Amino acid sequence: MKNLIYIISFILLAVTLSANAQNARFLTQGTIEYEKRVNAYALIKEQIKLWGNDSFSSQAFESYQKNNPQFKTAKSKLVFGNETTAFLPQTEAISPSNNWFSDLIQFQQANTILTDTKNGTSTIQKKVYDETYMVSDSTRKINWKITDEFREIAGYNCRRANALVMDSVYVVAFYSEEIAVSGGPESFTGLPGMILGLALPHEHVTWFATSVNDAPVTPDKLKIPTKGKPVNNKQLYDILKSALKNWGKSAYETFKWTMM
Amino acid sequence: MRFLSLAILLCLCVSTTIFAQNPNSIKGIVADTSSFTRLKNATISVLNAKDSTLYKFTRAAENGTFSVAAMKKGDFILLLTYPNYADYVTTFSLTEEKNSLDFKLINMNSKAKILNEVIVKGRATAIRVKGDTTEFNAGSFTIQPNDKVEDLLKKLPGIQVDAQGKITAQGKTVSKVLVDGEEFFGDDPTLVTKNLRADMVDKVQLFEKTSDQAAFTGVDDGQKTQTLNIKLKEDKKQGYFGKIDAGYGSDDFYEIQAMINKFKNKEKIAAYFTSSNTGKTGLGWDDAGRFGATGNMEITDDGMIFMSGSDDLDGGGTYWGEGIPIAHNGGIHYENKWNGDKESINTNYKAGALNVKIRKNTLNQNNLPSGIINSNTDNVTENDMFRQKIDATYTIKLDTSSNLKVIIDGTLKNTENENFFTSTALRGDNSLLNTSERLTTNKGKQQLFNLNALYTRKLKKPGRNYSLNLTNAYSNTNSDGLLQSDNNFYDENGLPTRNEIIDQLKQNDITTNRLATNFTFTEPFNQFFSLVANYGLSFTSNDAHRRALDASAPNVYNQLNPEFSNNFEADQLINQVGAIFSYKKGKTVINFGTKSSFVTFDQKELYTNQSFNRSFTNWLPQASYQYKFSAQKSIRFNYNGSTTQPNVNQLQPVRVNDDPLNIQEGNPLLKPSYNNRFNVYYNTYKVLTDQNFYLNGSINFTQDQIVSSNTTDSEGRTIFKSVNLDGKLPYNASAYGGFSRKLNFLGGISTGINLSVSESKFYNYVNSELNETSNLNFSPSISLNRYEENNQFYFSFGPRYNAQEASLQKQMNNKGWGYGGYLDLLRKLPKKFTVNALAQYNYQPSSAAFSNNFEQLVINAKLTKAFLKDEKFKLVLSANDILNQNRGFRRTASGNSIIQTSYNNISRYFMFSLIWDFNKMGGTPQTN
Repeated sequence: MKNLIYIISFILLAVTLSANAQNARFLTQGTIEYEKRVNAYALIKEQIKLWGNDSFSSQAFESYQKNNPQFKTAKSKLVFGNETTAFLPQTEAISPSNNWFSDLIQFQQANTILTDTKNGTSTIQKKVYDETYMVSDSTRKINWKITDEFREIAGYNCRRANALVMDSVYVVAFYSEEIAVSGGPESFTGLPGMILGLALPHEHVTWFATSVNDAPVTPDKLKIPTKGKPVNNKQLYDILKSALKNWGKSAYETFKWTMM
Repeated sequence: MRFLSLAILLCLCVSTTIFAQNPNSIKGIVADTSSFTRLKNATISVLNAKDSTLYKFTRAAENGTFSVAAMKKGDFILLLTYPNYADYVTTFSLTEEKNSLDFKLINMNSKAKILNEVIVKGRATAIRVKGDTTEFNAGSFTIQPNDKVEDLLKKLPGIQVDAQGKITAQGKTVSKVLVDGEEFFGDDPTLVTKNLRADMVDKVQLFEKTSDQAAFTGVDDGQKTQTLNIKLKEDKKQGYFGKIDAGYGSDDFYEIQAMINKFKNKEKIAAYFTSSNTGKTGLGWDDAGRFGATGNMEITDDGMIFMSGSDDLDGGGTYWGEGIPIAHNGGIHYENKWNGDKESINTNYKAGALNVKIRKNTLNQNNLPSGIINSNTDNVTENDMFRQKIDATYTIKLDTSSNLKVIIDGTLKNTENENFFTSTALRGDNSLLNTSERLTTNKGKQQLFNLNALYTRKLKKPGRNYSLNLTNAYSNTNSDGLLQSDNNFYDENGLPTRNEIIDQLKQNDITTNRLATNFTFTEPFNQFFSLVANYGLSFTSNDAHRRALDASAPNVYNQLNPEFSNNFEADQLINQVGAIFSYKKGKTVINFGTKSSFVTFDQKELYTNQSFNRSFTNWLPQASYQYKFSAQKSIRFNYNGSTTQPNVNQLQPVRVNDDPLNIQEGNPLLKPSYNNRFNVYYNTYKVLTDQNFYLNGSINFTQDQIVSSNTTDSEGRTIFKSVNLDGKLPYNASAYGGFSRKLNFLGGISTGINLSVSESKFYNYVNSELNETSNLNFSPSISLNRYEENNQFYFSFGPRYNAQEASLQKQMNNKGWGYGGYLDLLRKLPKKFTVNALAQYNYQPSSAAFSNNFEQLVINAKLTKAFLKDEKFKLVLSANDILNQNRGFRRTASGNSIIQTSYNNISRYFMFSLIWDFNKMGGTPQTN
């Protein structure tokens, strides 16, 4: 009799479990589209400050403001499945306009990234000006600080986490546990869920998911181009350090954004 | 049983080996007991207790179980989360004694939705409502110096900030806080401390923001969020800065410059004064930029800078490196912006005086079919100019899509010139041909007035826009001066044949008035293909009254000389239409189209009542193709065609007797000529290796070119006439390219090689015979440069081959190898000393045409010692042309003449200067 009760309750439990499991669906494969937004006005203002305010650059800025919106946007997508993510920026035409600020490094989407979330390694096809590198290394270790703040992004409830990367870059990420893949845009990963919103508030750049598509992902989608000079992070760091040696103040941003 | 214990022991041993360093672990089961559900995939996050950073995470298995192994010892927070369930949070510790923890069954509860009650208090005072936007002026609320933005917000009526930092405004939760339009995420003070301070805030705007999608598409989807926008104060400029630079040197050379800029918010007043006899005729480029008198500068979205209305004093005026200039200049500048930067004004008043004294000698070898004429001319000139200019630029943003810009300027210019001129011309056999002595004086007054208004408007369809431009330019010049000349002509035996004396007073009154409009319309056919069409109408009236008065008695000029007097009234009407198509897709940019001008010209001479009417059409086709392989690599092809009309002076010149040895004659049969120019440009740059390669080629040829036909008579007088070249195609082809690269084994010095080649053929007629002049230039060079903050230099050196030959005088060619070099270096030394040096070397060989070679090395150097911490005070010892080799010298060849000019100029001097940069700028501290 006692055994029977056990059996019945077990069956009951099993039934409710399977019924309830449909309530919370956890994605393990799909495609996310991100929009990168760069506050061009704020960046240009900082750039001008670096150049030492003269009337030429401030007039160039005024002309930029007249012809361009405050935010410059770019699209990218993240394909995930089989414990792998592929971050694919949408290649955009090289801007035919040559205004003073069209080449800001913050506007560029230089990285195509394939990440193995299981082993914590990634391969990045990184465009550094005219050179292309294939950077293979372990994924960035980020000391995320979990908070109690939430916001909804692309229909997913996301929890906020903060961190500091590269010693000085403040990162705010919003991740959703409903996507059970520890991924995110660019090289930001390591949270118990998918990063759907990412902000570098002091760099004036954000990435926010605009849509999440749960259509199954075939393995051929989880690929990135393999052309490039193979290096690891340390080697890339050394290459940049010697190339940017004489760049003075402007090297800092280039360095930061190339290594990011 | 014993066997089992052994097995467990064995297992333990194995796991100890594997997890030797972190033998700690936790486990448990996540479930919702109220619905008997095991929560598969629930997220288990382990945080470090001291700073809540993520340590490890995992997901619950099918049956809700989880385990986290290989953990370090310490205090942790366990965070269990599941969609739509309240978070489960608990703390735990793992120690030496207690190295594993079983949470057993953890029960999670569905989230109950609690609506937060909000209390609205405070009254809507000191609040301005602008449309949907409520605006608070931060300045009208008292804040403490180090208050955070949250503290300011708390003080604003209708806004609450709770302990978690959640903001409620007018009863609605603020879902987005923007700072200058960009979302504000708030900083974690344990990670960064760049918090906004309340005193940095200018205004707080509260509005219901339409969703980002609606803002993007312009289609209102009805979704609105309560948004707070914090407008920061502009980096407020308050205070003044300026510079005083004064130097005195050997041979009474001096240079003074003073400049002050005063700021108050967006208002700026600036003044400057310069005075020198060293060739510095105004503020330099750098200082002019800081002075801000660049109201007539336009920077397009393509980054091109257009400057209009350049000042002839700023640009050197009548000083072009010849002679010794004394220049005094001063100006005041005012600019301001108001009405939320929608309106701005930029005004300047400038006054300047320039005196230049030139002594010049010109040797001219004139190659004629009948032989050579060598003339030697001495010229003493003194030019005086005083000029005042006032200008104002007003811009207004009429609404979000239209702008108006109005520029007005007026100039008053007084000039006084005196020119004494003597020349002797010899035949090839050294026999005297003619002599001439001439004195001209001229006193003039010029008034200029310009008005320009530009209205631009963007239309609804992206890329569709139009602009309307209206211009009025008025100019009036009044001048009078004397012409006194004495010319003597000799025969082969050196005996005088004729004497010509001119003594006249010249009075000129010339007025030009131009009124022009231009309408430009841009129509995008699709994303890639667009058309820029324009229509322009301009009307110019030109009244030129020139009177030559002969003397009836010494110094009494009262007899009108009809031969050299004239009074023209000319009207010109131009209709211009143009259509330029452009195609931009991906890496390709193509432009093609044409502009055409239909011109009618009516001229009447009032003394003789002769009329002269013409109408003609000018074509300006253009085409270009550009392919950008990448941001640093591109290739471009260009074609431009243009019609050149003969000008009125070539067709029917005003008779001028200023130089009795060179006389202009008209040719009413002249046809327009047509010029074609092709260009190709290739450039590639590798940023990381600093490697650059560029190649530029161009060819230029003219059909029916208008060339000069000179007839030199037996007395050595030359009559100039313009004719169309028949049957020959003059051309000019050039190519230059270079390769440079940073060489690491040379310590990061960039090394480059450059090559420039050009070839040209041009024609003229000399005494009715065709003369072909061919030119060939070839100059390879090497360059080295390094740019570091304390050590910079640029060095280049190379040979130059130059061959010039005129078909009429082949034996008198000008061929040979020369050399050129350039060195510019800056070195910062200890104790705030800086050394600058600039050296230029030039060697021109002797040739059949020029019997002497020419060699010159000019070195300028400067030693600067800075004082005080911010180097505000500097002492400078400078030396100009240390070797005293800067001789004014120029050799040119054109048509059938080879000309060598030498003139006085500024050479060696030493100068001692003091520079004081002063700066007292205040304002709000900046965000970082």
